[in-house]
Amino acid sequence: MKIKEGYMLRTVAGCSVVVAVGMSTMDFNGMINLNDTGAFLWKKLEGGASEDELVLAMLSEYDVNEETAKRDISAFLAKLKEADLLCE
Amino acid sequence: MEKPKTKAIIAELRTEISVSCPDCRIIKQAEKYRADFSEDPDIKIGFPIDFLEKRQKENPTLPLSECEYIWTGYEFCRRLVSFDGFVLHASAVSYKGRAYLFSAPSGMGKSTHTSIWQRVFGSDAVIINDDKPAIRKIGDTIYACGTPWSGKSDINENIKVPLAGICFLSRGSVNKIEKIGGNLALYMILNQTMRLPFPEFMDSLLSLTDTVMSRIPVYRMECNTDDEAARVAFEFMSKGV
Repeated sequence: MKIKEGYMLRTVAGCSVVVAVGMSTMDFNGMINLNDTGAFLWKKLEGGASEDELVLAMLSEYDVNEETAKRDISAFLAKLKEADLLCE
Repeated sequence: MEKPKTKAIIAELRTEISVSCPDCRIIKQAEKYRADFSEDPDIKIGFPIDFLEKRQKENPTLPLSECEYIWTGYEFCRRLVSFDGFVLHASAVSYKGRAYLFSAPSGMGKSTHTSIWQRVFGSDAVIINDDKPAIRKIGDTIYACGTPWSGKSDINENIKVPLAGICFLSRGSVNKIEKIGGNLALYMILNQTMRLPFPEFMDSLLSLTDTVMSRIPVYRMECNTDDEAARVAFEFMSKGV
């Protein structure tokens, strides 16, 4: 899975924000605020990653158990899919 | 025939505006900003008539000259980010040497609130720009600057005033103000400024927003239309804490 073209993640005042850039995202007028884990996962997805790879990455980066990681990642991916931000 | 060019200094930037419509509001609005300069302009603004005609077709309730007023304003916003500045949808009032910006979506009481400042503080409270002040870092100071584009009203002054704070307004029965930060403040600022889907533009805008947020306090306030609203806002924001 990968984040679609045309989105830019930046850190502003310590917060992670995603904005639309590029003509493919003309319909997307909004912004996305991400917390730290969201930004971490987003960056991984920019380069492309499977759900399992994301879980492994999260487990090595954060002090969290596997079940929580899987659940949180699944919820995050669902939100991204709903907003049409992911391509398979 | 060459179009008339208006030379002006806006937010300390040498600006040249080529106007297609002789009755365009920008000619009169830019009077306060007129300047003669021999150097190249920092910003050149002008749209060919067929571009304006297309915009008018998309906005049939607006006369051609109004489309020109609006689009020249957008172009200034777009170019401003290359000069350490951005425009915020806000009513900006200057009082005791500092600028206070009140932002909200259209029709949510920005101008009403700053007009209360004028009522309470008298002629010492000056509206810098009633709709789209420029926030610009010049040297080491962040200023709120007047521009000739001030929305429906013609209320703007060719001044720059050090920025004290930015406050997001909503209507309430009791006047309440608090400082905000983080994601909320960031979202509210970005939501009331022009965003364009171009990487270079957004990079500059976000970097500027970062600079401003690191130095300028951001607030939100529920306000009513009593005189007290201005006093509460000023007392809290002038402390800058």
